[in-house]
Amino acid sequence: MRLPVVLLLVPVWCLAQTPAAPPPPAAVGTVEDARVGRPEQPASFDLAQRLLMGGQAEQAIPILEDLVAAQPENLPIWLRLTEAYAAARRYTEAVALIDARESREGRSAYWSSERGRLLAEAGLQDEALAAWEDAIAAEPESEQTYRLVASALASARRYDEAIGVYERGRERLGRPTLFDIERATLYGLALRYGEAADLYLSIVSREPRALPAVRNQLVRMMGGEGAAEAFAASADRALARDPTSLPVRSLVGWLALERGDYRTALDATRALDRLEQQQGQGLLEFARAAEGAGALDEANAALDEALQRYPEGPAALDATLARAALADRRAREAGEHVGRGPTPFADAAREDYRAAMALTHEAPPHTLALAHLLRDVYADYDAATVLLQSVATGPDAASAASAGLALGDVAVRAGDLDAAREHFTTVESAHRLGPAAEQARFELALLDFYEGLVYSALARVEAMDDNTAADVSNDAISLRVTLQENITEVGPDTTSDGLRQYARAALLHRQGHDADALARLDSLAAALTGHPIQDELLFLSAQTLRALERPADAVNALERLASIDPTSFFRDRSLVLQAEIFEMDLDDRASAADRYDRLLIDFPASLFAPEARLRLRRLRSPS
Amino acid sequence: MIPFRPSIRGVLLALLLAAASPAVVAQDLVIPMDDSQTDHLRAYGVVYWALAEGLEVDWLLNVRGGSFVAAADNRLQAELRVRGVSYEPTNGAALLAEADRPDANTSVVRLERAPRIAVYAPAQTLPWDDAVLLALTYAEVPYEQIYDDDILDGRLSEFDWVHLHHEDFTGQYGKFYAQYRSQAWYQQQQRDAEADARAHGFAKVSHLKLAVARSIRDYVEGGGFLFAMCSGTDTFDIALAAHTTDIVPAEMDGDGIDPSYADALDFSQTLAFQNFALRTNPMEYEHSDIDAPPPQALQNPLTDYFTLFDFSAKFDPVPTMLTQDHVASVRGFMGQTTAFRRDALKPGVVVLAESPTTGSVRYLYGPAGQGFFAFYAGHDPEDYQHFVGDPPTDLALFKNSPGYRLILNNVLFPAAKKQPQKT
Repeated sequence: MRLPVVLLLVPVWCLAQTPAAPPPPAAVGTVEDARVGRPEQPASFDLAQRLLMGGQAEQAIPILEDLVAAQPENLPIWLRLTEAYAAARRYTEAVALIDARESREGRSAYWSSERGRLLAEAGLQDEALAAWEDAIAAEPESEQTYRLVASALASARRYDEAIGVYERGRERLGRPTLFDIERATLYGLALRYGEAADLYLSIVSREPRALPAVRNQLVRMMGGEGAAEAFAASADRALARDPTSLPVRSLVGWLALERGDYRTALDATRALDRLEQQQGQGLLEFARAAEGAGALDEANAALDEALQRYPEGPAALDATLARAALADRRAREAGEHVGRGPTPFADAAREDYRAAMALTHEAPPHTLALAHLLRDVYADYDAATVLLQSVATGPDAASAASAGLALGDVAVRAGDLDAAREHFTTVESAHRLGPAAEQARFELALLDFYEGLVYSALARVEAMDDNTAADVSNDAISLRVTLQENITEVGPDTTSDGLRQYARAALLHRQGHDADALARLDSLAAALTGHPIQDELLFLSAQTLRALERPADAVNALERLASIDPTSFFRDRSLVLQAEIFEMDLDDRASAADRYDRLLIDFPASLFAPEARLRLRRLRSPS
Repeated sequence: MIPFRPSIRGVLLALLLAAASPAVVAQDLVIPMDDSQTDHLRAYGVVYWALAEGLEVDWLLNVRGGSFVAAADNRLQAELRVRGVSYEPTNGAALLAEADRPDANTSVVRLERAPRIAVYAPAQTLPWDDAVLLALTYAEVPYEQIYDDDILDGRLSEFDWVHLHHEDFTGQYGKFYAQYRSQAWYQQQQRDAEADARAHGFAKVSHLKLAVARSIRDYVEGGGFLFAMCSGTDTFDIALAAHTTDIVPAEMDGDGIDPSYADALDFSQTLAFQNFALRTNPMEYEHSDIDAPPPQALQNPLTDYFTLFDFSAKFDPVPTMLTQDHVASVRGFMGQTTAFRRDALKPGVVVLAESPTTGSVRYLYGPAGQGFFAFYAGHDPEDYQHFVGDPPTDLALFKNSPGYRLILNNVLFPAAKKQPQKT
């Protein structure tokens, strides 16, 4: 394999390691000897080298001149003197040194190339070009000649001329693909991205094993001005030339992904998957990348294609699951629900989950996902329960815990609180520690609350962790405050009946029986005037009214909350809820902004404040 | 519905704080800059906004970390709230009188107008970030980006404050040659710079950069304010010192360095540094011995820090303004230029902060003619070692950063009403 030209672009002493006509090693030592100062060199040589490295070329020169006079055949010392002359800008003497060497040893591409480099540094560009021409003329049949001259030109950042030298070399030597890698690299350095990409694509077309190396080269250029566009055009040309080339397709797909063009990348991936007989695996990987980048349509199209073309292929199960998860995600983002219109994404997800279950019985995650979909979108609690039970009794402890919690939730929604208690208790007993156990404890407290066992509920939440970084802990704290504030042992409500009634309404709201919940809340509010639970009643009423698509009434309920209890701990969240309703349901940006601002005035340290600031900024912007 | 996950504990805390919230009617408000401030960096942005809106703000030096006092304007309060900057109602007159007490090392500086800010940076996107741009962007302080064309066209006079991006005024492209010369951005940078030089009639990039550096120095001497960080500091002075010689290796400009460059360095031309030696090896990522990074053994983000000097607020208001902070010790951070060698400083340069372990200077300022300059060593105050290609620091995670505060002090400094120097 050829050396990439980039390796030849190091300082000139590296070039000297591969001279076209090196003197006999036995007589003169090696350049490496010269560089590191091996013991066979005189001590004064070390001193000269140190002076040279310290930028004191003028001081090094007399020492090196003495050494060269004493050992005229010693190449390392001779090279150092040349270098010292160049460092001191004594180019005439440096060139004379080379001339002397050449006259003694005969004409060679290496010495002429070196002369060219020194003349270029001296600013004598025409003379330098002539010297490089001499180098080529000296040994025109040697591949190395062209490398030497092109490298010298590249070191002088004359990339276009270096490319020209390589082109002359391949023509002279009759090998059309010679120096392709070197030229491609130089095109990149010259910022000629289209030509670089053309060449790299043709290299990959001929030599598929070069694909990783070519990618590495292209990545370096990707950030260049206009590089992405040039690469795209080049990819089109390559495909037109060679539509069946696997590596070209691969590179085209990769380039499209790099610039975020998922449509083109999908085309390339589709062809590649077919040509390489990947049986859908390539399409599946593409779909994952596209979904991660938010290109959901392209991801879905890739999965469709994989499953249509290879319904029995090795990637079929994973593709089915990926497509189901994608549709599930889109269903939730679209707010699909069986009671609120068509559910196309959810239907597609349900179908794919079921298809995947037909292919395997060992995939609890997708069984859980289907159960959640049936519960959340279709309210099909029976079907969800069957699925969840299969996972809850399975060997995967984490999935079993999730299924147990979901079973409890489904039972609550279905109105079977005893069954719910059983499921949550099972999870708590099985785990004791960790998030699943904490969630189960909170759910058990909620069940007590729903059933009017307010002291038991309070005892449970008081025993929970106070880790406010966890959502469940925050929920538990919230419930605890509600219980502590409203368990009344004096006054007209010594049985805490208001709290119990409120709990029943909260249960109805969770079960989706919002009309019933609202009726109960209204009658409670009328009956319990002056009761400390009024703010809870009004806040829950607002949530219920919003669920019933009565946003204006929801706002009014929240306004009443503010008027009856300005110090309620629901105040900050009621302002946020009001703002959300104004912004999203009533399209009243000014009122929304006003509520967020009020939140920032009244509750500057509220947990809602950072989000309120963001939303307020968004509302203030003209767009 | 967009989910919120509230905490009752947080709500209760909010209620407590609400009782002390600034909603009550007050004549004035104070923006504290001590540990109670929720967002120090955006506080500077709000003050800038207030000045741009024609409001007057008093900067209380050495009072609660360098707090600000303004009239309780409704728009200002709304801006403070939306930006998450804490403030309190106050009796401004009493506070100002307290700060002016002769027996306390405090004073009041009236800020009168929003300074016009320019950031010297190329249009090309380079794979590193600039702390000043990050700070200005996060604090929402508006600025204009300018480059060589603008400076050579004489536009500097339009600005009160100029910041130098991570620039290499020596024409050596940041000395990234060894590691990055084959990268597209490096090639692009070099090509653009060469075209820029040719377009302005200069044979070499180093000549163009020297002309730019001279224009900037003239701007400072004419009354402007210059702020630079990292290699924008030392390369500025190196370029000025090397005005009669060539210190650029052949790898960058094709013709090698002048062998007698060391004798040709003219330190009378520089702003801050003198008696420095250059590093001319193109493979070495260092420009000169001005840079004095901590030794390898001390390069530890847990132990590397520097201390801010105390100045007399009444008699030395400029350095006092530049060092306002809510801490006395600031965590150190590296850069291409990490710290300044103390014995390379010119007479008259004031050290604002130093490393107590190495004695090297991290932050300095000095007068030049009618203007001032401030040099702050290191690259990113909240990223100990920021490498090429690293993602930018998210200042929302460092809104109380003492290191970034030092940058923003500089932004407000030119807003101060000119006062007769007491010393």
